[in-house]
Amino acid sequence: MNMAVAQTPRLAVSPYARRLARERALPLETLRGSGPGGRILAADVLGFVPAAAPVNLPDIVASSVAAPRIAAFAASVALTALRDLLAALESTGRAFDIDDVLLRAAGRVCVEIPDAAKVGDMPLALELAGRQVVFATVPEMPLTSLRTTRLAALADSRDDAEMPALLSIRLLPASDIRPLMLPLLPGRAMRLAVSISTAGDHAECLLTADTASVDEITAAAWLAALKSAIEHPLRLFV
Amino acid sequence: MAISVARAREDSRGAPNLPDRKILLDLFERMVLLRRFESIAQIACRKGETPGFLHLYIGEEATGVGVCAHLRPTDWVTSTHRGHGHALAKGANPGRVMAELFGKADGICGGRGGTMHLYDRSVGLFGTNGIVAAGIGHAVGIGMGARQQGRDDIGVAFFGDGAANHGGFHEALNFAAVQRAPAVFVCENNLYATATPLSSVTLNPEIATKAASYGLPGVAVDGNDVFAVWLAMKEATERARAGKGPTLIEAKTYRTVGHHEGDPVIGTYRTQEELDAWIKRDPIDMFRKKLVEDYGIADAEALAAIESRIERVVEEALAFARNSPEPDPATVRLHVFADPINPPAALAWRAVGEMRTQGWLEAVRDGIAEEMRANPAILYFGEGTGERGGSFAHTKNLWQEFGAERMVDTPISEQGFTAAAVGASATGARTVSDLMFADFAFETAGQIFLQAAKLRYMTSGLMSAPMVVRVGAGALRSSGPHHSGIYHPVFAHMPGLIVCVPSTPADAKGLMKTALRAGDPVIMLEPKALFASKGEVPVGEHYVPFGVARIARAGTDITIVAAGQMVQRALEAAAALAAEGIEAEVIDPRTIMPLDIDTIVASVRKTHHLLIVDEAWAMCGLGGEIAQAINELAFDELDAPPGRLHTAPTSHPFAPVLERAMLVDTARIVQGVRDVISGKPPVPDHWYTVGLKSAAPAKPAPVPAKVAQAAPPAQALAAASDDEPITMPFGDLTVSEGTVVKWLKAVGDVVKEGELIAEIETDKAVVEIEAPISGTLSAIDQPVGAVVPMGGRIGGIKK
Repeated sequence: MNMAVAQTPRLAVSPYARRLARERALPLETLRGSGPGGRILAADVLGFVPAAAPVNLPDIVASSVAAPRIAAFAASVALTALRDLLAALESTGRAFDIDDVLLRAAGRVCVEIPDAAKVGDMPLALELAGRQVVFATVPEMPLTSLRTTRLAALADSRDDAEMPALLSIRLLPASDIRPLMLPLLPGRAMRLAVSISTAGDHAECLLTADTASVDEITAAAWLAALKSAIEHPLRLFV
Repeated sequence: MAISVARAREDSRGAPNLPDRKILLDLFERMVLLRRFESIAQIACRKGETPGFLHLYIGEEATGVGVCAHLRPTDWVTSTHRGHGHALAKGANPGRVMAELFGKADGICGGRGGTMHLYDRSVGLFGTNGIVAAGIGHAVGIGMGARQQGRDDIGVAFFGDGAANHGGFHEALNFAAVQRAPAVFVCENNLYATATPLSSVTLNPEIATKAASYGLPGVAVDGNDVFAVWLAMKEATERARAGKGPTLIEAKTYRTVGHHEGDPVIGTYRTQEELDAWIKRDPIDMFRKKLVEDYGIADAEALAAIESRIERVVEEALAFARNSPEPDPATVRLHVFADPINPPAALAWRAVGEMRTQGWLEAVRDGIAEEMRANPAILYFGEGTGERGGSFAHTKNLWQEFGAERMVDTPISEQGFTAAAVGASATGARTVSDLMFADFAFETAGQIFLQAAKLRYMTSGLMSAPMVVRVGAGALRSSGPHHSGIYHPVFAHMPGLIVCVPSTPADAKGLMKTALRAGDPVIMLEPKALFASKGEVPVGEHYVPFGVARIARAGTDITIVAAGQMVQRALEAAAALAAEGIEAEVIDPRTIMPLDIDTIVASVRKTHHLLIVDEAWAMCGLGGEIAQAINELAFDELDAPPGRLHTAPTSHPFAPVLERAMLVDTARIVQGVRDVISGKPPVPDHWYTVGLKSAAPAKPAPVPAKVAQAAPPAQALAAASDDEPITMPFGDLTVSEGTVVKWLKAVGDVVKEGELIAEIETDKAVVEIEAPISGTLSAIDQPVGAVVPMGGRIGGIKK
């Protein structure tokens, strides 16, 4: 075990407060606990007001404590198997987009890597132009229903940005680029950005994670699981 | 054909006063079946094919066969640990009994019961039984239940001489006698309770004479003379069926095997001379001689034909058992409770109709009366609950309406009448066993925990004991150490028991009515402190389902779980806290088992704080149970550690000031809520480690590192050769190995099957090893002094 980690005093947080902070992407270090021994309680999270950003003379120590701890991982994902499968399905009259598959894969991975989601049914958000759509039951939902729900969401104009979700998924319009840095969206512990090559044979993925909510080991495992899920797509259709 | 030869001689030699020839030959055939079955089981046990250990009936066949010859499939026998013979004599299928001994799926209890828990509803077998004397009272209730249902079927209890010194025997005989119960008690006196001679544990070893104490006839017969047993049972059966009451038959007999397989036949408590004398009186040999020489109704040839037919029957039984599959491990959780656990009446939707303000006792009494009117097979057993109307006036007027046959005033024999309640409720009747105080339940704990609770499971769901144990429970005004307990966690601990702790007259009535229609034993703990309470009670049909909590008060800030009289204390606390701006939600689970954890979880999701308040003690109690369930199911909802308040971990003191100090009151709940909300729950001290800390024991000396030598599996030792292995027999559960002390034969010696060839000494006795087949001793694998595990090979014989 890392000695530096071992010597850090443990932050006392009630389980409910921890959950609320995770849902709001609030770093626990920024909160003051009002419970016994400084335990952070739900009320401390719900009553948290972010300090106004100092205009001058940023206090380097304070900001380094308050700054979100970000981890980012990139991976190239081969799409050939998926492309073939989608083509085969389309020839039988069942059309799916890569967006559907991506949502399904992310939902499955949340179940596979429960550390990231804590609960299996943690919702996912799909980023659309300037808004988000939250999918509550991605792991269980049949792919056809998932697709119907997504297409319906495209048609209306609701914005679920305020609803809790573990991560948001952004399908970048640009091709043949490799995303290197993207900010987290408020209330989201992770963000997945995907850029598909022109040839459609691979995708570049970037996973950004707030380590206050999801540690880097879990985030890396999450991305690896996603890559595996998309590269072996048959499992996603059953 | 041998039988026709015998029949030809029937008229000339048959004694005129004998029963039908077929009856006599059936008695012979049955005895042979019992003997051969047990012999085959014995070999299987020694080979390690049967899990657990067996108590064989060899030597006692005449008793079981002579008794059961008079019984119908609708009569029931209760039996003992030595009960394979009773099962077969009552008509159970030999293959399925053998499969049960093997723990197989096709066993008569699906492999859940085994040798000492053989039940078969189709033939009227109410269990062999692992508990001495437990079945005697069952037979009483079986008979009374049949009588109440208008049948002249009877209950017959087999038990040993050991049971004759057990309270279960005396309580059951007395209760049966005074009730003129249609029952017969058959004591198989084989002279030893395990290894204890009867004469050393009683000054009156004439067990039949004990019947006089209870005013019923007692007869002693030669238990090895099947015809003598048959005659005695004929009279006893007729008496029982005619409503003249029970009879005690003492059958003097002897087991010519050890107490269980592995127990030495002689040596430690019996002599060779005694054994030889009894073997001379072998019931089958004696009866064979009588049939041929005295009655002249069969010749040796005819009897040999019967024996060879039975030989095939038991061989088929063995093959059936061996070929039967193992039970599916996925089924292990089945048959604990009825599925669904609630009777249909409890789940039916009813419009809320007329309500009436009623006292607790009156409401429950009305519920019982409604059910007794609807179901004429409900019997109510209790002390003073008859004409007197109960110690708490809780059965007022029921005796007047339903009569003494149904409102049965019992002697103070909790064990006796609760056993009867088990027997009656499992055979078509329904019973309430009213034990007056919850504390008194321990007087019959075995009947509740070991018999009623386990019956459904032991029988793989084929039988159950839907009885209600009704008691006044909990503290009330200096009732003192023996009249104040509630004990619901003790009962809820036992799989198979439904445990109710109602808190309002309506719930008490509704749960009682549900209990009287349920499929499982129900422990109805009615808080005495609430007997004087009044409440709104639905008029008429009103059922409260098991496992559905009631939200006694809605709130947003903390969940208080409380049952029984603690519900009212919690509501008072909630009212006081509301003045401080704390809105408490009070959940009344109503039944402790099944426990409606979902309602509690849903409440905690809302309030994020939890306090459990319970009248029972904290150790292994409801507070810890529910708090841990919330950790498992809703950890992320907790904004503070859950708290628990229990009655102080002491007996109930008499002095009012001490009793008040012990119980949870409203003020303590108010403070407990404040503590939980502030994040510092009250910390109990029921672990009693404080005293240990002040006088810490010296550090224990390190245990010498003795290498535990696990006995290698038998197969590993079996040399791969074509000879017949000679093995150390399986037997006693507590013995795992033995030392070879003597080889009586040398390699190359010719041996005969059954001949003594070696001796092995175990911790308990010297085991004689016999040649498994005739042949030549071909190998001695384990020399004198070698330690051999059970089932291990010690040598071999070549044909």
